[in-house]
Amino acid sequence: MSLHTVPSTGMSPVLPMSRRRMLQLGSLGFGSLALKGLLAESTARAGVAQTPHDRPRAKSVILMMQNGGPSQMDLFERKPALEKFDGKQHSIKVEMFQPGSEQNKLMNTPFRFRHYGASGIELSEVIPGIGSVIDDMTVVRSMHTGHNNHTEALVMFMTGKIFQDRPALGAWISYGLGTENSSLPGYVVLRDPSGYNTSGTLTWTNGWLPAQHRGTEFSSSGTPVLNLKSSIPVSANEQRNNLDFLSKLNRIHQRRLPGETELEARIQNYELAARMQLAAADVLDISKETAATGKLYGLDNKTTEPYGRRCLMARKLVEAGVRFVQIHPKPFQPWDSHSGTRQNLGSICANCDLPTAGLITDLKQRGLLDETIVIWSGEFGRLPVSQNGTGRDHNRNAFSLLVAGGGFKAGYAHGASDEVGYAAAVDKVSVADFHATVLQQLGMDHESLVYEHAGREETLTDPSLTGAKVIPGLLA
Amino acid sequence: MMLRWLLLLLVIVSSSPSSVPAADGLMFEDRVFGLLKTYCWKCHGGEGRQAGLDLRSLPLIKRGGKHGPAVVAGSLEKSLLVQKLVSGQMPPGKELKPTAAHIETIKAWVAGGARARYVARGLDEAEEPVLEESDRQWWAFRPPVRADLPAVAASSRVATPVDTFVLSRLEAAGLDLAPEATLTALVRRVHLDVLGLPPDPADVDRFLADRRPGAWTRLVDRVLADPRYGERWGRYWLDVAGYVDIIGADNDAGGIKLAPGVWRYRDYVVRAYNADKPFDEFLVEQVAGDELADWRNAERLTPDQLEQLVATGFLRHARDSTSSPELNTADIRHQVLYETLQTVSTSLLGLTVHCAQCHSHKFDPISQADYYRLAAIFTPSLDVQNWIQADQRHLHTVSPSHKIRIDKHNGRIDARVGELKKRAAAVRANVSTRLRAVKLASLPEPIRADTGTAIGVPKDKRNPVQAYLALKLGPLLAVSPDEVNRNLSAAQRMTVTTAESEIARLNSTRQSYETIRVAWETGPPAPTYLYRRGDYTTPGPEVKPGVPLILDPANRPTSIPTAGPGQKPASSGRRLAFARWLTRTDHPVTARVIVNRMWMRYFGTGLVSTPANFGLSGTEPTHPKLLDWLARELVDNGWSLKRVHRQVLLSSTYRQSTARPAAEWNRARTIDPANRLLWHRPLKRLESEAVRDSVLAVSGQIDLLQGGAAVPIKANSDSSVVIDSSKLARPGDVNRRSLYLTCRRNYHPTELSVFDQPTVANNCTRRDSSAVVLQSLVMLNGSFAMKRARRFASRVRSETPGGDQATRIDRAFRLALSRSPTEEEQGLAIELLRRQAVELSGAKNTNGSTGRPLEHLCHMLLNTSEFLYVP
Repeated sequence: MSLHTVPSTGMSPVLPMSRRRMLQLGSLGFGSLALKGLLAESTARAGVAQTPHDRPRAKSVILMMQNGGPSQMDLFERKPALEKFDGKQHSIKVEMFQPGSEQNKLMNTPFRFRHYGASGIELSEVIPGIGSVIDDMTVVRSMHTGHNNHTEALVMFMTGKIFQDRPALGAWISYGLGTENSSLPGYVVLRDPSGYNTSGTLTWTNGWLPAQHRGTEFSSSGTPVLNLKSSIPVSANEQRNNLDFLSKLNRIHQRRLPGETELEARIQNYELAARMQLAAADVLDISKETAATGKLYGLDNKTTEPYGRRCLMARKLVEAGVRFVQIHPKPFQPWDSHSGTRQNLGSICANCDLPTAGLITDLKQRGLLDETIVIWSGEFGRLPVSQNGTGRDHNRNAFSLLVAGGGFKAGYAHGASDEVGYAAAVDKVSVADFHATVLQQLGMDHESLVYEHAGREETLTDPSLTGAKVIPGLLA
Repeated sequence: MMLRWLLLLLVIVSSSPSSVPAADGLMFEDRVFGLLKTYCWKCHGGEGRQAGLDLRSLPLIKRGGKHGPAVVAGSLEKSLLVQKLVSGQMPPGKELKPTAAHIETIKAWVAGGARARYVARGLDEAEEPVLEESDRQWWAFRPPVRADLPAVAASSRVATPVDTFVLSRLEAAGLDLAPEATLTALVRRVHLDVLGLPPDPADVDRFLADRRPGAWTRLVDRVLADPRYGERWGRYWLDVAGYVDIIGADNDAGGIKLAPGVWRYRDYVVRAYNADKPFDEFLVEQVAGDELADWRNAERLTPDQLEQLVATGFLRHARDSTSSPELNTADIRHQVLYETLQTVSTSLLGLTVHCAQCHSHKFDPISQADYYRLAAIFTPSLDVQNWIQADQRHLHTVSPSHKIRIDKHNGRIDARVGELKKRAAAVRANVSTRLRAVKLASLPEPIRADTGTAIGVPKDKRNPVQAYLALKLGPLLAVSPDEVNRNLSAAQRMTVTTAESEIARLNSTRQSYETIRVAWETGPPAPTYLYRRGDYTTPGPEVKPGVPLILDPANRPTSIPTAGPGQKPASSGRRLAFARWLTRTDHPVTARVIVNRMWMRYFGTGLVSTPANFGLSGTEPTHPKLLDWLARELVDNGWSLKRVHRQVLLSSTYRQSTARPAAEWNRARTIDPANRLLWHRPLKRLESEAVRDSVLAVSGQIDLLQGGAAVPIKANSDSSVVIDSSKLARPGDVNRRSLYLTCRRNYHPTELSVFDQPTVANNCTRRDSSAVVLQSLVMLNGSFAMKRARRFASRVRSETPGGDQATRIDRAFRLALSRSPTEEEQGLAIELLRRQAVELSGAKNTNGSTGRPLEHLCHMLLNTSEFLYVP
C-alpha cells in the first residue's frame, strides 16, 4: 500500500480550522503524517477508510484511568477456585513484584459477587453502580500487559510500550482526528486538584508528536481554565489586531526554524486561546446542569462529588467535541492494595462507582454513548495469592477493563483468566490489541496512523513487534 | 480445561503447606510478634528504643537492652519481658495493658523455647548478590579518564577542547557544526543561559561595540562574574536538592506550613555558586557540614560554622509530615529517611537505589545490603526510634551554649522588666483606687458601700443586686489610664517614667537568634538493620555504614567509621566520611553527574540523557570522552564549576546557530534526527522562572534584591496561585526574582506552574518543557503579563523622550528581544499601532478599554515565540 504524504501547506493560518487542516498543519512537511485510509468521517465517507465499517462508530473517547492496579478477582471476575482453596498454596509459583507473597497462598476475595442487569454478568458487590449499567458495557476479563511496575505499566497502557517518551493514546487520537471543536483542545485531562497520579504528566504526554497534542489540564475545582478572559478589558477588535500582529511576528520567527514543531504548536495555541475564550467557559460551566443530573453524578454527596464533577465535565467536553478526555481518581495510585483489600477498594469504589454509572447513564440518555467510547481501566491487575495477609501484589499477566459505547458490545463479558485469575487464558487481549480496536472504532486503521520519527514510521501499536490486531469479538 | 483443572486440584491437595506452626510450640511470628507490636513497640521497637531495648525480632529480643536480655529461652524467671508483663510494671502507666491470655501466650512461647521461623544470620545471596565482572566494566562505575583530544578536520571551529570531541563525532557521521549564531543572538543567549534574564540594550551595545579580539571571552567572564549567575544556577541545584520552603507533604492548597529559616540554605547555595566555591567543598558541607567543626561546644558560632550548618539543609527537604501527631509514626519516619536517600542518590550518585529498599536492584548492581549500608550513614541524623518532629527539628543561628546565654540574658531582662512593670502598676493602682474612692464618695450614701462592694466582686459571682449596681454605676466609677496619669504626684510620676524608660532600655538590650533547618545527629547512632522486604517491622541482619560496592574500586565496603573523630561522642562522622569518599578525585560518578547536568542545562539534553540514572537501566553517554574530559577538567582544576562553564561557553559548539539552511537541515536530520550529535544549537524554551523574571526585567520593574525570607504566596479559590501582597515585607517584593517566591511542592504561582515549574514530590532531576494553551492564556490574559506590559510601555516612552513612533518601536524590540526590528517587522508594528489607535479612539472605544496602542505592542512582544526561546 502506498503512502500518501500530505504536503506542507505553507504557513498562513486559516480560521476556523477543519480537521484536515489541523492534520496538515500538524504535519507541516516534517514528521510527515501518512494517510493510509485513516481519516474519519469526511474522508471515510469518500471511501478512503480501509476499516470494516463504512464509517467510524465513535468520535470521542473518555478514559477513566484507574491507576494503581484494580483487582480483577475482587471486582470483575468471580473465582470459585479462590473461595474453595482460600489459604492453600497455589500450584503455580506466581511472578512476584514486591515481597510479601512468598508463601504463594491463594486468597479469596473479601467481597460477594452478584448477577447484575438483564445480562446477568457477575460483578463484585463493591461496584453496584457499575453493575447497574453493565448492560451497556463490555467487561474484558482477559487483558494482559508488559510490566509489573506502576510507571512502566501505566506508560504501556497509555503509549503501547513500557518505555517513556512515546505519545499517549489521547495524543495519537488528537493527532489523528484533530478536535471537532476548534475552540477547545483535542485532548483534555481532568485530574484531582490536590495532586498528580503516579507518573503524572507522562500519562498525557505527546511524546515526539507535535506539542499541541499533549493533554491540556483543566481544573475540576475553581475556574476550569484560568485566564480565559482578559484581566484588563480589551475589546474583541483590539485582541484580533493583537493576535494578527503576533501571528505574523511568530511566523517570521518560525521561518528561520522550520524544523521546530513546538513553534507551530505555540502559534496554534494563540489561535486556540482566542477561540477558547468564547467557547470554553460555557462548556465547562456545570452550574446550569439540573439537580437530577447532578444527583446522577453524585454531586450531592461529599464522597462522590469530586470524581463526579470530573465525570460530568467529561460529558460536557465530549458533547462539545473534544476528542479525548482523561479522568483521574484520587492522586497517587488509589487502586494499589498491597494490604487491606476490603478497606481500600471499599474506599475508592465509594468515591468512583456511582459517578461512573452516572456518566454512562447520562451519555446514553443524551444519545452520546453510541459515539463515545468510555474506557475504565487500570495499568495491570493483581495476584490471586495473598500479600501481607490481606493484600495482593501487582500482576501484569491478567487484568480486567470496562469499555462501553462507540460500537463496543453491551452487556457482554469477554474472555477469561485462568481458574484463579493469575493469567489471561481465554480470548486474550493485549494492550496493543485494545488500542487497535479503539482506533478502528474511531475510523482509523492502527497500521495506517503513522508518524515519522527518527527515520522510522511509528505507530501507536507497532504491529510488527506486538502483533496488534483488532478484536472483532469486542464489537457489536 | 478439565484436565488442567484436575491437575491444579491435585497439586493443591498434595502440596503440604510450609507454614503450619510446629506442633510442639508457638513461633515468634505466629502471635507473639503481633502482641509485642501492639503493647511494647511504642517504646521498644518501631518508634522507640528506650533502655536500648528493641523488640522487633528474636535476636534483638535475646540481645535485650541495658538491663540484660529480654528473653532467655525456656526460663520465665530469667526473662525480663515476662517478669515485667506479669508484674504489671510494663506497659507502664496508662498504656494499653495486655490481657491475661495475652501474657499466657508470651509465657508459653518463652517456656516453649522462644523460637522463631526466621532468624537473621548474616547477609544472604539475595540481599548481597556477588558482583559480576561485567557490572564492574559498565562505563559509569569506572573512574573518568582524560582522553587525548581527537584530531578533527574542521580545526578552524575548535575554540576549546569541547569542540574536538563534538566535531569528531559529527565528522564521523558526515556532519558538521552549524554556522556561528549572530552576535545579537549570542549576547542574548549567554545572558539567558547564565543569568536567566535577557540583556539590557546597553549590555548588547557594549558587546557589539567591543571589536577587539577576545570580546566573547570578556562577555563570558562578565556574565559569570555577575551575582545573578548564582541565582540562575543555584536554582538548578535547588531542583536536585528538592528545595521547598514548607514542612510536610503540602497536599492542601490553602494551608501553607512554612518551615522557618529554610531560606538560609537557598541563600547559601546562591552564595556558593557566585563565589565559585569548589564543588567538592560544596558537597562536603551539604552532606556533613555539621561534622566539620565542633559547633556543639562552641562559645559562639563562627560565620563559617554557621554556613556549614546551614549547608546541611540539603538533607532536609524530604516530605516529613511528622509534625502532625497522628502522622508521627514509624512508617512515616522511615519514609523521610528513604526519601532523603533517594535525593542523595539521584542528585549525587546519579543512581536509582530506592528499588533496593525491598530487594536487590533488578537492573543495576545495587544490592539490598548496599541500600541499608547507605542508610546507616544517615540513620544517626534521622533516627526513627529517637525522632524529632518535623517542626521541632531545627537548630539556631547561634551555638547551643550561646543560645543558653541569650535565653538567660533575656530571662534576666524579662524578670527585671516584670519587676519594673509591677512597680509602675502598683503606683498607678494606688492612684486609681484613690480616684475611685473619690468618685464613690459622690454617690448617695445609701448605695455607696453596696456599690463599692459590687464592683469589687468578680463579674460572675455578683448577685442580681450587685450585677445591677455594677452595670448602672460601674461606668460612672471607672478610672481611665489618662485620669491616672493626670493625677500622679511628682514623685509618683518620677517612679513611673523611670520604670518605663528603664523597660525600654532593657528591651533594647535583648538578644535574638533565628532557627535554621539543618541535619545533625541527635544521639548516639543506633544499629541499622537490613529490613526484610523493605519492611521495618521485620529487621534482618545488622549492617555497618558503607557505600555501594560497585562504586568502590577496592571491591570491599569503603570503611565508614561507626564513630569518628572530631566530635566524640556527639557525632559519628559517618556522613563526613561519606562526603570525603564522594569527593575523591577518582570517584567514578560525582564529577560526571554534575558536568552532565551542566551540559543538560546548556543543550537541553545531557550527554547522558538520564541525568539521575547512570546505571545499567539508564542511557550511555553520546560523547563518553567529552563527559570524562569535562569531569576531569572539573576535578583537576580545584573543582571549579566556573571553569567548566567557560570551557562550554567559549566553545564553537555553544556558539553555533539554532537554524541551518533547509538543505543542510534535511540532510542532517536523516542522519541524526534527534540532534544528539549537536549539528545545530537545540532550541530551548525558557524555564518557568526565567519566563517570569524576563517579563519583570523587560518591564523595568524587577527588584534584584538578593536573599532573605521567601516572598509569601497564596492560593485563590479559583485555583490560581499568586503573590500574597497583603503580607509583603516590602512593596518591591512583588517584583523579586522567582527564586525568592515561597517554594511549595504542589502549588506554584500560576505564571510558573503553567510553564512547567516542577512538582516537588522528591527532587527534580530533569525539567519538562511543554507548549500548552494554558501558557498562551496566562501570557495573553493574565494580570501579571498585562500589568507588566503596561509598565514596559511606560518604560519605552520614558526611555525615548521626544522620540517618534519608529524610535519607540525600535526601543520596544530592543528591550524585549535584544535586537532592532527588521523593516518587515517595523511595518507590522506601525500597522498594529495605527489599528489600535483607531480602536481606542473615543468613538469606537465602547468597551472601557484603557490601554494605549504602545501597550498592546509591548504586550504582544512579550507573547512572541522569540521572547520565550533562547536564541
